[in-house]
Amino acid sequence: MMESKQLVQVGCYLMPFEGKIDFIEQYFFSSGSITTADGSALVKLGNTTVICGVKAELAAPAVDSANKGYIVPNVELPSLCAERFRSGPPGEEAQAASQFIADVIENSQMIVKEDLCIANGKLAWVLYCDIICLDYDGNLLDASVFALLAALKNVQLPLVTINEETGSSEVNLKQKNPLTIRKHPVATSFAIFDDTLLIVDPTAEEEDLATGTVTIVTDEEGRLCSVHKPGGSPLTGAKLQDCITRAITRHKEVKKLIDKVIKSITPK
Amino acid sequence: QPRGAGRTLREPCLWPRSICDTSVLAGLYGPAEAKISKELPDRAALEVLLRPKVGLPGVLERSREQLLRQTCEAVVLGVLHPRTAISLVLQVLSDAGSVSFPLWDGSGGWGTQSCPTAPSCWTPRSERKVLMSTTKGSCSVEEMQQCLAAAQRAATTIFQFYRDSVRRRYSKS
Repeated sequence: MMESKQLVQVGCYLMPFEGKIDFIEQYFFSSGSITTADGSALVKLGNTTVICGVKAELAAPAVDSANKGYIVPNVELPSLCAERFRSGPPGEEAQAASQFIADVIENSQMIVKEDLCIANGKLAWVLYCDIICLDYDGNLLDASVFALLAALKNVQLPLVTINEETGSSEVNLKQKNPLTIRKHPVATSFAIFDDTLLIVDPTAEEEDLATGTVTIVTDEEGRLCSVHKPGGSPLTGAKLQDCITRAITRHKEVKKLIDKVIKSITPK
Repeated sequence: QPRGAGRTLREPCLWPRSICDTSVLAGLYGPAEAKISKELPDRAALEVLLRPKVGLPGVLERSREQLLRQTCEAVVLGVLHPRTAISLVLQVLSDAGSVSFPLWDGSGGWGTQSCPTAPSCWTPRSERKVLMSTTKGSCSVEEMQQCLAAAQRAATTIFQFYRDSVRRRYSKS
């Protein structure tokens, strides 16, 4: 039985809202709460709760990319998280969110798929990143990216060696190594009201009333991994730049919080 | 004449792209009677169906459908046709990258794309505001600004092209 490495962290972060009012974002973040998964994290952003579990499995790499592993992200919006979702096959929002997460992983290169390869053409890791929304109150993408990053940072993979005589793989569960995370993407969403007002961390009600949303994903070097604006009210270039600047500022706060939590749970 | 809907507002149009050989066929149906489950009391229900070149539509298509639907919703005056359905069917004919651009062009919009790290930005009409944006790969803030500027420049060219073609068409008759 694995010892529970759970830690709870509540973060508060002030965000200037339209230059006048200070907007407070509240985070609740716990890492390693699912002991049966290889890595997990629970993130609460406002009232939105998202849990991410990473399960690692061994598989043969694809023929056309023999030196690459797989990362399979999946976002689930079960009917328990909000009234608007029905049970059954994933709806458009869940599918779009899954694709967004896959794009973020690919664009930011947070995990290089070559790192997941154990033996070229023979064996590689498959990381199933299941992101389940437990409570939906808007801002799903921010919470999902946050939970994914935190869960991946929590992953401990056992050492796998290939026995040269028999050709079979041997898993050493006693020796575990963390994943190499190269970039730390953080998403920041804004809701647009009346083509001019921008609101950070929108709730579900605000998202419904808004005329559009923008999600900006930045990494620690201030590079943009994604500028996702699916239609809605048009924004001027200056407003978009404003969003980008705010996203970069927010990245620093979120990164600090993740580092603090990860540091406090790493066994010494 | 496509069947299954009351009438077509536009002929299905094909925009072959000589630069990257990506082409998409688009057909627009409606405003027609909507299914009761989909009907919206205050505006037209817009539906975008994207068919890939081979196989069945998957998560990628669904995400692009959402992108296009939300972009079209911002442009189409849906309030003029309440309780109706407008469906836009797009078939990818050949994909050599940046499918979303001809998709948008095919659907009768105004799109521009600049290529270095392939962010696509769509800017509408005279204001040159960003209507829709999607990126592939990472880029710096300066590169993003350059892409936006390129998108705005290209939008000007495309609007001029539309203006010219409409003028040519109606000056003949």
